[in-house]
Amino acid sequence: MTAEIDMHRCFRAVLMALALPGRPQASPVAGSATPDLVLRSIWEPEQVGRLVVLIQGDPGPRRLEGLERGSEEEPQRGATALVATAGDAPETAVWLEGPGLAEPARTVLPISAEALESRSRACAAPPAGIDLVLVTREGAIVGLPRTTRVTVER
Amino acid sequence: MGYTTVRDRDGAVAAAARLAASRHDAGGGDWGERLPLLVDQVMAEAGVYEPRVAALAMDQAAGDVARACSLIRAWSAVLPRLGCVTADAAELRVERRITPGFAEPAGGQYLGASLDYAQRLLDLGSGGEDAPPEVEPDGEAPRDLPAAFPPARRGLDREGLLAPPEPRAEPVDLVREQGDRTRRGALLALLARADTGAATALAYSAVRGFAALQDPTVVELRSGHLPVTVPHPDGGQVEVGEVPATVVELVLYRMHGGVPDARLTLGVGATPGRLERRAIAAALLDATTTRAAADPPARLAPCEDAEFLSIVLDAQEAVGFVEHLKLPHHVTFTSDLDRIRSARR
Amino acid sequence: MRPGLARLLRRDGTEVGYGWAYLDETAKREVRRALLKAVAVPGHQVPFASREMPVARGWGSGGLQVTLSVITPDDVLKVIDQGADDSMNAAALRDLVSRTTGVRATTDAREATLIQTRHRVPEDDLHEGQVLVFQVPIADPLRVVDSRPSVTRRLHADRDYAAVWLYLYEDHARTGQSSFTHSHPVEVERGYVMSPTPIPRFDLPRLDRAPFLALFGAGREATVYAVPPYTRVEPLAFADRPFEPERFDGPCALCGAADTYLVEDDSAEEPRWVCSDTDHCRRRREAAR
Repeated sequence: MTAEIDMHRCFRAVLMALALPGRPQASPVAGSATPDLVLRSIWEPEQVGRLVVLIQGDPGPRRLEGLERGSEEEPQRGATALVATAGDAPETAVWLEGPGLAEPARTVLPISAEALESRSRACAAPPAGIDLVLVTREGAIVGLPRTTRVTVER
Repeated sequence: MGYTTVRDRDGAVAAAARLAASRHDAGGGDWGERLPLLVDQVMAEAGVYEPRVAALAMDQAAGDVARACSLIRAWSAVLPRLGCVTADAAELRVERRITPGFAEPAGGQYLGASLDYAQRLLDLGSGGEDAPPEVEPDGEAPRDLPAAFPPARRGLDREGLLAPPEPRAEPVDLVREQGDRTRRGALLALLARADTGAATALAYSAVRGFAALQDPTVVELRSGHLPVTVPHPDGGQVEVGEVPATVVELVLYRMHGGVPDARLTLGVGATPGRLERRAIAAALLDATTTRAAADPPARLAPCEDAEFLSIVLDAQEAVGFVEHLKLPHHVTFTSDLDRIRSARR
Repeated sequence: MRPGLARLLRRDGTEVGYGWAYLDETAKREVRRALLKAVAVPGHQVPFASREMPVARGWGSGGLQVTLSVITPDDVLKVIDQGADDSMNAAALRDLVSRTTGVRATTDAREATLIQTRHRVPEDDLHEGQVLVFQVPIADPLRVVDSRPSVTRRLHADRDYAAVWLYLYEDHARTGQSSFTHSHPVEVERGYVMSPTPIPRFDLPRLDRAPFLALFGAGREATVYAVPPYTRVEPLAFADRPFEPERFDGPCALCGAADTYLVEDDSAEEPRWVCSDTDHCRRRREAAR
């Protein structure tokens, strides 16, 4: 039962992370165990690699735009990128705008600017796009749905 | 025969389920007593109120409702007819009364015995320490329902918001009279003994959207027993029995398309017995066909089309014809093949 | 006496034979996948494999699947129907969720963290972090123009909403007012047109840029959709024909509120109008003493 409940809490954190982009939600388990728990709470084993892609460390300048984006009629087929950030993850200061944000918000994300640019390209034709879930080593879960407009602070 | 009204509605869920349980004999007893709603369905679709005959017919039909109705209708079709009475729905001895359109109607709402609000959790075992908490038959003394309820639609009527049912339905004996089955009286009679599944599916199509956008609201559902009184040979009236029945009044909101006189359309449905979806479906189809009567036929959806309904709603006709496909058809089939082959040469 | 099948199927959980939060894990994951994409594409109807539930289709099976997939032991649950906690159906739903999770229930919308509702938004000011789960009868607002999902899917994909605007135009041209009652179609973030479920028009302004997360579950139609917090939700209306919520002639006869949605009460000597949100009304009366 504890395992079931961990999955409930984990999913709730991921849901709120995507509903309130940029705001860290707490994982119910240790940071190192979180990516696996996220996968088990939401996806079937055979869907990992397709509907959801687990990326260890920074996605880099090209990975995200290579993921499935969905279509106009089926935007929900756009993939979820679950990024398990490394201890020495790059940090990028950004301004976020869009659904889930009462007003533009400034925050620091544990992901490179190049990866964010790649994400922008993947999300360039709404409603198609990809959705990002970042999990830090400390067990913070941060969401960036495709609807969030990200501006890198220079 | 008991009923309970409760203030605290959380208690009402359990009370309604208790009442429903107390009418059931979960083990032993013949199946007719264990499955009263199935008996109600057979009696309603056969159009004959006689529970013992319904149970007997079902036994002989191996549980096939349509076949059982065939047996009953055939048997009753040649019985002598002693008389014909009209029972006033207002005389219904109410055991259950709900008004979905109104939170606090005059007279109040009485849930009665209903499984509606009990969760549909299959009870897999009986007895033993693993059994889910048992629902005990109710031992409480019943509280009296009011002797009469003012019709819940009364306020709407007074405010002039209801389009009077047009045309007023004349009772029709479908068995003995031939004629136009699309007349409102004939359609209502047809709906009263319609195939439950067909009527429900067609009513569903209306709400689900395979028709003009229309918003139905049940104004009142009453379930209970309808007294049947006949004239006594020496004068006066005598009650000869009572028939379980459910009556539903429903109003339809359909404003798009412009109406010269903005009003709700009233539909009325009734069924023998307590299988309530029969009465709700009938009321809904009465309302949709009435409302659409002024529309051009080409634009009618099936649920609004009295003519379509008059054809598909009777289970005997539908089942009989669908199943007749099991009869030999090789002569006709040979003819079909002849034309196909000829076209391909 | 043969042992009940319940014993053979026993699993750890508060209700014999069922896991925590009733649904099996596969069912929950299916709902969760759909909900994530629903939140990522606000207002878009996401299909999911809807399970048969212990409540009938049309009685909240979709809302229930959403609630059971989203709930945690830390939640405080409120379930309402027509704004009332003690409505029969709300009581049955709440009972099922409580029995299979042990989660604490409340009638106070201010302290609830998860609220499942049919036909109303609670009158109280709601806050960030709360999740509202709406029960959906008809998921597609374009049902008024075509009953076929195969057609309306394409219209949504193209954001082709001309037909529903025409529908509204015809109403104004012929009758001088919109014929939409409850379920008035809304535009989400200037994108998809969505059905807000049969909440009254009165409640629609509460959805616009709301602090809570709104999830919508349609069990029978097997779709979910969502509106994240702080997202634009605007009822379809022509600029020169302002949107009209329902109006009442006087305040609540019980608590005196002039800013709530009222319903008719004919149980007393004289007909009167009272708050549909019974708990909000009760607290207002208590505060007045």
